Amino acid sequence: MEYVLHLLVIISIYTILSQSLCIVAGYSGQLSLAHAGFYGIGAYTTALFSTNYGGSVSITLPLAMLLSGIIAFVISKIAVKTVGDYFIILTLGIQVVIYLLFQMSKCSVF
Amino acid sequence: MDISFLIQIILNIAHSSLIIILISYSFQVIYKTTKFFHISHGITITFGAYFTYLFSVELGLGLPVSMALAIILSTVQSLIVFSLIYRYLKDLKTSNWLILIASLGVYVVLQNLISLLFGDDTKSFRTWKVKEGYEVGGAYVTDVQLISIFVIVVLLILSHCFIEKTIIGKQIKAVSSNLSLSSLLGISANNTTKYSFAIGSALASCAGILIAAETDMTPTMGFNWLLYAVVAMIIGGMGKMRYLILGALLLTTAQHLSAYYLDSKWMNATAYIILCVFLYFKPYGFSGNKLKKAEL
Repeated sequence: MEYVLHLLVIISIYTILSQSLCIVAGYSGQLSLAHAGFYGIGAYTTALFSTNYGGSVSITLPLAMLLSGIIAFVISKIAVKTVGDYFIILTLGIQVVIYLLFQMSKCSVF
Repeated sequence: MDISFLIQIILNIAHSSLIIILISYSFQVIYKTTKFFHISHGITITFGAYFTYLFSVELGLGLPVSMALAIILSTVQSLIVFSLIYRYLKDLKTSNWLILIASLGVYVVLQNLISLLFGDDTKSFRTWKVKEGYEVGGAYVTDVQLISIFVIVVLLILSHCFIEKTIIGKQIKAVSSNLSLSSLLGISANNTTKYSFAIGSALASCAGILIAAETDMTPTMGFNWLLYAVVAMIIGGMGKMRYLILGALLLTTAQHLSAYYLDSKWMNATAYIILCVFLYFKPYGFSGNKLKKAEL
């Protein structure tokens, strides 16, 4: 039963993730590889706020969504300059930069 | 900052920017004819290094023989990828970014294959003794660096002459400038694409061997170098050789300075930040050639 529950959670997470990618790729026709970065920003925001300031999920979840959205809005101002293959390479680059920032930040979550 | 340090950093920049120019040129030869980003080019770089390791260390053949075999086998590998996957997708008239995702998939599969066969740890085919290197004005330069600088310059001149002078090279240029007109004149686009894949992959595997001779090999080494090369190509714009050289020089200078002043971990981030800045302010790169890709 435990395993089935885990499976359902994973299925739900991937559904949200693919739905969010579908909004970007489906309506604009541009595939963004920076999605993994925003996924990470959401996870890190929730984890850092709930461990350091003890906020409940009802506060940290909207906060993570808001922060991730604001960062994505700023990045989209750069990314809309390009289309097609260049867009994919640019978003891949943004993803690598976000990944490196997480990797090099000194803050410990757990 | 004293003078010997300056000479050292200039030597390092010259060495790594020449490698980036070689990979970028080989990538560009393929990109111009096919018009899609061939990401599994990165695995051709890795294959060049690992085949050399396989033949020279594990099978005990001489280094020159194993290098030649490695270049041939990596070329064959990329031709197989082209005829099995890319040509099929091209025939289906899929959009270019779908082929890019497919090539990313090919890259992941082949990289995992290398990890399975050889393991994830660092491998080296260096059997010669490590020497101190020659002193040039307080800076040190090793034999391998000198040899690779010489080899890359010769390879670049030869391939440039090949593209400009021979009939195959002229066909590649014709197909890359106008596909429909060149097929009207009886140039087979399929064969020409195969030739361009062969030239590009041979150059990329040479670059892989030279990188591995300098800093050893891991299964993921190709991807970073390929992305640097792509960034240099976009910065330089899809134009002539001199813009490519300018782009690669700018990229490596920024990378080495960031490694010196910040940390060597920031080299990747620097490359992409430069890419973002360029795509925002100068989307066509140095050359200013208007590409359809960068237009809205």
